[in-house]
Amino acid sequence: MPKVFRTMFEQNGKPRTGDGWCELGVRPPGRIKPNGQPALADVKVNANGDVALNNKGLSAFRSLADLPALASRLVPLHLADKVRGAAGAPDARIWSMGQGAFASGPLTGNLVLHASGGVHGSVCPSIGMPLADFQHELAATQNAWGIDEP
Amino acid sequence: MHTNNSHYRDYQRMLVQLHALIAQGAAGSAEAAALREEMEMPEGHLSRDELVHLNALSGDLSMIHGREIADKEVVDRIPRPQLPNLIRQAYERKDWDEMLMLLRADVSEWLKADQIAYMRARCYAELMELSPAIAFMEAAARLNAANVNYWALTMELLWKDGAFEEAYRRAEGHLADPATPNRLVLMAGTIISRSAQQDPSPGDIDAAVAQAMRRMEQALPNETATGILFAGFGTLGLLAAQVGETGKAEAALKEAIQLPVQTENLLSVRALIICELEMIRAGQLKSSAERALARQLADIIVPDAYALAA
Repeated sequence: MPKVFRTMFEQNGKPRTGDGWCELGVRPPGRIKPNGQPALADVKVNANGDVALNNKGLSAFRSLADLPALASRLVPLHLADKVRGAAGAPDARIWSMGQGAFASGPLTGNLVLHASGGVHGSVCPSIGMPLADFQHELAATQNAWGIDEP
Repeated sequence: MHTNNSHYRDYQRMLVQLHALIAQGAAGSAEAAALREEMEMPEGHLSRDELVHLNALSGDLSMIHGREIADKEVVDRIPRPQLPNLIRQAYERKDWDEMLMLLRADVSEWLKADQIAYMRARCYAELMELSPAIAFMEAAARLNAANVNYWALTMELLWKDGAFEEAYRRAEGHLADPATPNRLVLMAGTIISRSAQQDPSPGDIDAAVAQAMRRMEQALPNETATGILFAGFGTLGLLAAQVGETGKAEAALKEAIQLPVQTENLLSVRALIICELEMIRAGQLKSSAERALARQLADIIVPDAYALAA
C-alpha cells in the first residue's frame, strides 16, 4: 500500500472526518459560497449518483521532502521554523498513511491512489459508488493515519 | 517575476492578505481558513515556476509576523562573506529578483529589519508586484516609525496600485496629525493634489485641500532640498488653483520656477509649471485646458520618494 501524506485538522488525536477543506473526506459538488459563486469540489458525481471515476478525489502528497514545493497555505504554521514560508492553518497537522512507494495502486479494498506523476496524488474510489459510500470509505481510514511531521 | 498570468496576481494578493491575518493573530480564524481554501482556485492555474516564486514570497512575508527563516538553499550556495557585496552589485545592476534571492540568506548581520523590509518593498515595486511591495513598506514603517520616508513611500505605492481612496485617507491622516514631520506633510500634499484632480474627486476634497495648503505653507520654509522645495511649491500652487486662490497659486508656482532645478525631468516639469502660471495669469483658471494641464502636473510633480529614502 503506497504511503500518502495529507494536511488535515486534528480531532482527538485523529484526522477530523468531514466534507470540508483539510478534513478526511471530499468536498462535494453543488455547494454555493456566500458570495453566490460555486464552491470548490474535489469530485464529480455522475447522473446515476456515483462518484465519477476520473482520478479525482481526496488530494494527497508524496513525502515530507516535498513540503517546500507544496503551496505554503497547506503547510501548517507551526512548521514555519522548519519549512520557510509555512502559512497553513495553525491547528492542522500533517498526517501519513501506508508504507510503500508513492505510486498508483490500491490503498484499501475500495480506495486507490492515483499518483499524478509529481508531488501530488488523489485517493479515489476503485469502483463506482455513491458519494456517501465514498465518504464512508475515506472516514473508515481514520485510524490508519498518524501524525508525521518534520 | 515577469508574468501575465492574472491568477498569479490573484494568488499573490491573497497570500499577502493571509500573512496580514497571521500578523494580526488571526491565523486560525474563519477568515483565514476561507482565504486558504479560496487560494486553491488560482493555484490550479499556476506554473511550477510561479508557485516556487510565490512560496519564496511567502517566506519573505513571514518576516511580518516574526517567523522568517533563512532559505537553506541560498545559505548553502552563497559564500557568506560575499553577501554584502553581491547585494550591492545586484542593486547596481537593478537585478531585483537576484536581490530578493540574496536577502533570503540571513542578512541581519548587516541590515536592520526595517532596512530588509524596505529593500524587499523596493524590489517588489520595481518588479511591479505592488501588493507585496505595499506589505513590506508598511512593515518597514512599523519597524521604524521614525523614518517618514517609509510612510511616504507606502502612500505612493498605494496610489500606484490604484488604491486611491486608501492613499487619500492616509494623506488626510498625516495632515491632521500636528506631529507629522514636514517632509511627510509635503508628500501627503502631493496625494491630496492628485486626489483633487480625479473625477470625481473625494467628497471632502475642499477641506482636505485647505488643510494641505495650511500645513504645506508651514512646512516649506523648513525644507532645504531643492527637489523637494520645487515639488512642494508646485503642488501648493496646484492646490491653490484647485480652490480658486489665484494669488496664492501664482506666488507658489513662481517660487517653484525660480528654484535652480537641473535634471532633465525637473526641467520638463518646470516648463509645464510655466505654462500653468501663464494660463492662470491669462484668466484661464478652471478652463478645460488648464484642468488638463494641472492633472498632468499633479501626477508628475511628485518627488522621487526612493531618492529621499536612499
